[in-house]
Amino acid sequence: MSNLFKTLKCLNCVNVTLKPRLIQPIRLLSCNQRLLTYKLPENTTRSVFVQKPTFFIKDIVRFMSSGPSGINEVADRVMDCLRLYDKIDHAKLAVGAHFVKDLGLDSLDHVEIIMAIENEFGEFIPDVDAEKLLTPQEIIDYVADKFDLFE
Amino acid sequence: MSGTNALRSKVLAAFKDLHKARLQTFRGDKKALDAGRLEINQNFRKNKDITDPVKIEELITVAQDSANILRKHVLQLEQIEENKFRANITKDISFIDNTMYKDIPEEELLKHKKNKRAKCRPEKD
Repeated sequence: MSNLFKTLKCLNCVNVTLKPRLIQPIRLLSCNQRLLTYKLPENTTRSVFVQKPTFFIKDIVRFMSSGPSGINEVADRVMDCLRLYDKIDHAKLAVGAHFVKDLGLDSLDHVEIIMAIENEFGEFIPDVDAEKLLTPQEIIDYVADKFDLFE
Repeated sequence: MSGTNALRSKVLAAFKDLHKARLQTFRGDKKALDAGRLEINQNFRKNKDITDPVKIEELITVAQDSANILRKHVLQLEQIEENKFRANITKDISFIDNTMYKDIPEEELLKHKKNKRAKCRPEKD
C-alpha cells in the first residue's frame, strides 16, 4: 500500500508541475493499472487527481498491453490466443499438448498460430525458430526468453 | 530431402506473407478479414496434395503475386459519414506519377502532329 501511495504521489507531482498535454506516456510506465480505479480519501487536499484524470487512459492501456510483466502473464496470454483459434478443441488444449500429434493441426494452422502470437506480443518470430515451437509450453518459454523473463 | 524441405518452408513463408498482406490491407474490417482468411486457407489446402516441384513453384508465384496486389493495389475506403469516405493509404500502396504539364508553343505542336501523321502513312519510294 505504501508503495502504491508513493507512485500516486509521484504521479500527482507530475500532474501538478506539468500541463496535462505535456505528460508523456513514458512517464506513466511505472504506474500500476490498479491506480486508475484507486480513489483517494474524501478529505484529500490534492483534488486535482480525483476530479480530473488528466493523463490519457488510452496511452496507459497500450503500454500495459505491450510487454508482459511476468511469466504467468505470458502463459495466460498465449493460452488465450490459442483458445481464440477456432480449430483447437478446448477440451484437448493443455500446456504440453503437441499441435500436430495431440491437437490434429497441420503446418498451415501452425503458421497462423505463430502469427497470432506475433501480433499478441508485437514480436517477430523468425521461421527457423517458429518451426521448433510445437507445443504451447515451448511458445511460452520462447516468448518469456524474448522479454528476459524467468520464473 | 533438403530440396523438399526448402520448398516446404517456401510455401509456408508465402502463406504467412499472404496473411500478413491481408491483415494490413483489410485492417479493422472484420468481414473482409474473415472472408480473406477463409479464401487463403481454402486455396492452400486445395493444393496440399501436389507433389510436382515445378507446379508448386508456380503456385508459390501466384501466392506472392496475390500478396503483392493486395498490398499495392487494394485501397481501403472507410465510411466516416454519409457520402464521405476516408482512403486508408498504407505505406505499400503504389502511386503513379502525374505527367508533368509542359507549355508547348503552337508551331511546335503542329510540327509534332505532322511528324506523327508522316509516320502513320505508309512510306512511298
